[in-house]
Amino acid sequence: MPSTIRVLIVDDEDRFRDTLAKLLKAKGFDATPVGGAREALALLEQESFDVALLDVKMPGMGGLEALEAMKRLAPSLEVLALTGHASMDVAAAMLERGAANYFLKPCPVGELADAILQAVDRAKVAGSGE
Amino acid sequence: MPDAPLHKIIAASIKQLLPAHKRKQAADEADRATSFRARYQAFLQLLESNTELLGIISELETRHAGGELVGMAHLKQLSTRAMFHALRMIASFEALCGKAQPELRNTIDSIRDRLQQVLVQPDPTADVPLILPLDQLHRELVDIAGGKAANLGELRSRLGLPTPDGFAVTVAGFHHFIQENGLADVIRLCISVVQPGDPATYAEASRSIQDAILEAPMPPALEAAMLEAFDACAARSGLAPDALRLAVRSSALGEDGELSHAGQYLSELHVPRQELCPAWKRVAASLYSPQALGYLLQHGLSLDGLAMCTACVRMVEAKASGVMYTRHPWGLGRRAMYVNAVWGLGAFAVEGRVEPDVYIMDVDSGQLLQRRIGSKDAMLTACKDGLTEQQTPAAWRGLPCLDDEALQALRRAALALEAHYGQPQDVEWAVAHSSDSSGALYFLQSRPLALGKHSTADFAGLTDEALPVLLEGGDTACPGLAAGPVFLSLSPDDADTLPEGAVLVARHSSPAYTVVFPRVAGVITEHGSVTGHMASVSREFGIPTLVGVPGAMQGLSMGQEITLDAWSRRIHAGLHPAALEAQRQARGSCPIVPADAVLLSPPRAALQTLRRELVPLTLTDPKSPDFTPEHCRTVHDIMRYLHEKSYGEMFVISDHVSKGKGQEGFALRLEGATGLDLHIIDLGGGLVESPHRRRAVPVEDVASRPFKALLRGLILDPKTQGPRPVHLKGFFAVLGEQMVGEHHLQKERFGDRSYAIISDKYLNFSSRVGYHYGVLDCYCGQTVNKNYITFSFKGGAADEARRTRRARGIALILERLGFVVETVSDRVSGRFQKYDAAKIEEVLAEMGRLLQYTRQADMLMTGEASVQAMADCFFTGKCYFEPSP
Repeated sequence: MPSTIRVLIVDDEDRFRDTLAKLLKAKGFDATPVGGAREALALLEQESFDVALLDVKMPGMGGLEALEAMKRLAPSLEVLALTGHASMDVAAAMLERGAANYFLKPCPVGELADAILQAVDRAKVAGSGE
Repeated sequence: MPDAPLHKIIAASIKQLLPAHKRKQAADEADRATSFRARYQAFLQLLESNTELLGIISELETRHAGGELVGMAHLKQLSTRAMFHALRMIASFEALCGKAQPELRNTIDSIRDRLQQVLVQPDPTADVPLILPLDQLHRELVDIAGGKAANLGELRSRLGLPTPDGFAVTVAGFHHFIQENGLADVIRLCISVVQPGDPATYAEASRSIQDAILEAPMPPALEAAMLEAFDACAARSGLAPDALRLAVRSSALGEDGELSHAGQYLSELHVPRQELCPAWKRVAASLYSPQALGYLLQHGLSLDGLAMCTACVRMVEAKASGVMYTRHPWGLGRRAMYVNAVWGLGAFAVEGRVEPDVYIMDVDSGQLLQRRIGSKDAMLTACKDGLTEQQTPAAWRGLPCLDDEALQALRRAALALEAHYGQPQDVEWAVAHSSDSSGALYFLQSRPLALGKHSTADFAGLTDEALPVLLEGGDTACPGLAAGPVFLSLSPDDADTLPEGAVLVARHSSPAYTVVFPRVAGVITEHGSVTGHMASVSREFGIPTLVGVPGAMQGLSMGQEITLDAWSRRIHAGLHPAALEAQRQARGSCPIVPADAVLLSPPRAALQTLRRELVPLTLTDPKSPDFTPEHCRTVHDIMRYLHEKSYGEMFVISDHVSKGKGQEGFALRLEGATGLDLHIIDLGGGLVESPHRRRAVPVEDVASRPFKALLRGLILDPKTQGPRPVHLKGFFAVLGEQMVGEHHLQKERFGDRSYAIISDKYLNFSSRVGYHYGVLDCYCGQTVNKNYITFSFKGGAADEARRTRRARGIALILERLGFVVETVSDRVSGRFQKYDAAKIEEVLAEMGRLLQYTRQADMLMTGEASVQAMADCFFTGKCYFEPSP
C-alpha cells in the first residue's frame, strides 16, 4: 500500500486555502495549508512533502522567489503553481524555476488531484534504480 | 521520501561492494541508468504536457462547435496554461535530446505576443456605478443591470407602461461585493466538485457557496449607495424611509434572455430599509442555488461572467396578480394570449401553489375565447409585518380576478409589447388596491416567452385507442408524448433517486424539480400552472408536461409503466411505441443554441484568435522535408513535432545505451507471435528481472500489467486463427492508389518497428504497421481515477474513402467497448478511463486483438455497409475482418 501523499498548500487567502485543504483531505491526501512562503520554508526544513501547491501572488515573498528557495531546500519536491494570476509571462518564469504545472484558480479539485498523483508517480519512476 | 534518489544509493553501495575493475563497469552502468532515467523523466513530462495541451485544444474546439458562452477570463486562463505547457514541452525535449530549440522558442514567443494583443482588453464594467435608478435603464444595459432590471427600465422609459419606481444594483455592485470579500476563488473551487448529473453534489457546492456569501460583510461603499437609493425612492413616493417596502428581485446576467432561467433565483418581497442589505445578499446567493447550478451545467453554460444584478422596486399592494403570455405557448392556430390570475401577490401564480383563473383571448379581436375560474383557495398578501398566506375569503374564490376592462388593458399592453420587442413576451402584472395610488395595472417584468419546440398547432398526440386511459384532465404545460415508469415524488428532496427515463409525478409543480429534468421523460403534477416557472423550463427542455391533473398521486403507483399524452391531456396504462419513438427522436435533437449576439461577442472573437494560434495542425507528415521546427506555425504543430521527435529520441537513447560498453540494452526484442517487429523499452518493473544480459525477451518475462494484458489479444495463435486471407481485389485497389499520383504516405513502408515503452503500470505502445499508425497509451494501477487507455489510429494504404470507412468501423468498435470516440477523416481517437485495473486489462486484451484485426482492413472497406460489418465481425471474436461475400 502506498503511504499517504503529503501535500503542502501555500496560499495567503485563508478561505481558499482552508477549503482546498478540506477538499483534498476528502480525496485522501494529507494536506497541510500554510499562509505564506516563509511559513512553508520553515516547515520544509523540518518535514518532507511530496507535492506543494504554490500561489504566485503573495505578500512578502512571492511565488517565484519561494519556488527557488523551496527547490533548493527540497530538490525532489514537486511544485505545482496554483494561482489566480493568468499571465503567460509569469507562467514561463515559474516553469524556468522548476514548476511542474501551472493551474489557474479555480482549478477543478479532481484535476489537481490527478496532477498530484501524476507528479508523485513520475518522481517515483524516475527515482527508482535498477 | 529518502533524501537521495534510490539509484544513487544503489550505485554507491555497488561501488563499496565490488572489486576495483568491476566497480568501474558498474559505475558506468549506474551513470547510464541515471542519464536514461533523467531523460525518461523529461519524456514523461513532455507526454504529460502534450496531454494537457490536447485537453485545451479539445476544449477550444468543443466550445467553438457548441457555440458555448465563454468569458474572457477563461480564455486568458486557457492561453496561460497553453503557454506553460508548450514551453514545458520544449524544455523537456531540450533535456531529452540535449540540444537547444531556438526556432521553437521563437515561434512560441510570437504566438504569445499575438495572443497578448487580443486578450489584454479593458474591463467593460470598470466605470459602471454600483447603483442605477430604473429611470436610467433600458434594454441595451442588459449586461450591466441584468435582463429583468433592464427590461423593467425599457417598459418604463421607452414604452411608457406603468411600472413601480425603484433602482438596480448593477453588475459592478455584485462584483464589488465578491471582490471585497475575496469570494471569487472560493466559489469556483466549490463549483469544481460538482458532478453534472449528480444533484447531491449541486446541493453540497451550493450550500458552501451560499454560506460564504451570506456570512460575508457588506462593503461599506455598496451598503451606503443602496441605502441612499432606497431613501431617494421613498422621497419620490412621498413616504418616510421606514414606510417604504421594496421587492428585491433577481436580475441575473443572462436571465430572461434566450434561456429563461425561469424561477431559478430568489426574489424577496416587502423588504424594509433595515432588511435591504441582508435581502440583497440572499438574492445574490441564490445565483448559486442547486437548481441554478444544475440548470447552468445542463445547458453547458460557462460560469464565467455569471453575476447577480438585482431590481429593487417599490412593492405594489396587489389586489390581484398574475402572468400573461402575449401568445399561447404552443399556438392555437390564431393569435391568442394566455393570462393566469390569482388574488393577492403573484408568487402563488408562478409557483403553482394555487389553481389560478385562466383567460385566453384573441389578441386581434379582443374576443374572450376561454375563461376558467380557478379555486384560488389561498392568497399571499402584504401586511405591516411582512407577507402572510391566508385562506381566500369564500366569497372571492368563485369570482374572476379580472374584469373585461382589465383584460382589455392587458391586451393593449400585449400588442404594444410584441410590437416593441418583435417577439412574444412572458409578462408579470399586478392590479393595485384602490388605496394604492390609482388602482391601476402595473407591469412587473417582461421577458421573451420560451415557446418550446411546438410553437405551432401541429397536434401529435396518440390517435389510436390501443392503451386504456387511467387519468384525464389538467393543463398542458408542454405538449408531447412520454412513456416510462412512474416516479411518485412527495417533494423535490426525494427526486435525487429518480431513475433515468421516469415520468415524474408530483403533488405541486416546483422549479426545484428542474434539477432532474435531464433524466425525466415526462412530468405530471396535481397542482401547478402553465405559466409557472417549472412549466417554462419544461418547454425549454421539451419535456411533455401536464399540470393540474386531479388525483394523479393516488391514481398512479410507483414504477407503474404509463404513457403520458400531454397533447390530449390523457394518461394511459402501458408504454405506447409512438411515445417511445418520440422520446428517442427528442434525445437526438439539438439542445438550445445561444443567440447570434453571443457568437459575435468580443470573447467569441478572442476565442477565434486562440483557436487560430493553437488548434490547426499543418505539420502532418513526419517523413516530409518540411517536418522541421522552422515549419511549426501553431502550438499544435509544435506539439506534433515534439511528440514525434521525442519517440525518436527515446529510440536513440535505447540504441545508444545498447551500444555502450555494458552491452545491456534498454530496447529488447519481444519473442512472440505478434507479426510485428516489436521492441520493448523497460522503464522499471516492466520485465521480470533476469541475471543474464539479453537482447530478446520471451513473453513470459513481461511483468508490466497493461502490456501483459495487451499481449493476450496481440499474440496470434496459429492453431486457432490460421493465416490471414488475402483479398486480391482490395490489394490491387491499394496498389492502384499508390501508383496514381501523389500518395499521402508514399514514403512509409511495411514492417517498421513497433515499440512498447513499459513500466509496471504503464504502457505506451506505438505501432507502425503497413501504412497506418496506431498509438495506445495506458496507465493501469490501483487508483481507478488515474487509469486510462487512449488510442489513436490514422492512415492506411487504400484511398481516402476506404481509410475513412475503416476509421469509422474502428470508432464503432471502440464505442461498443466503452470508449469516448472522436473521428475526423481517417483518424480515430478514443479514451476509456476511470475503470478498475481488471476492466482496463479486459479492454486491453480486446485492443490487442483490434490492432491485429485492423491490419489491412482498409482494403476491404469497399462500401458503406462494410463499416457496420467490420464492427459486427469483430465482436464475433474473429482476428481478422472477413466481409461476407
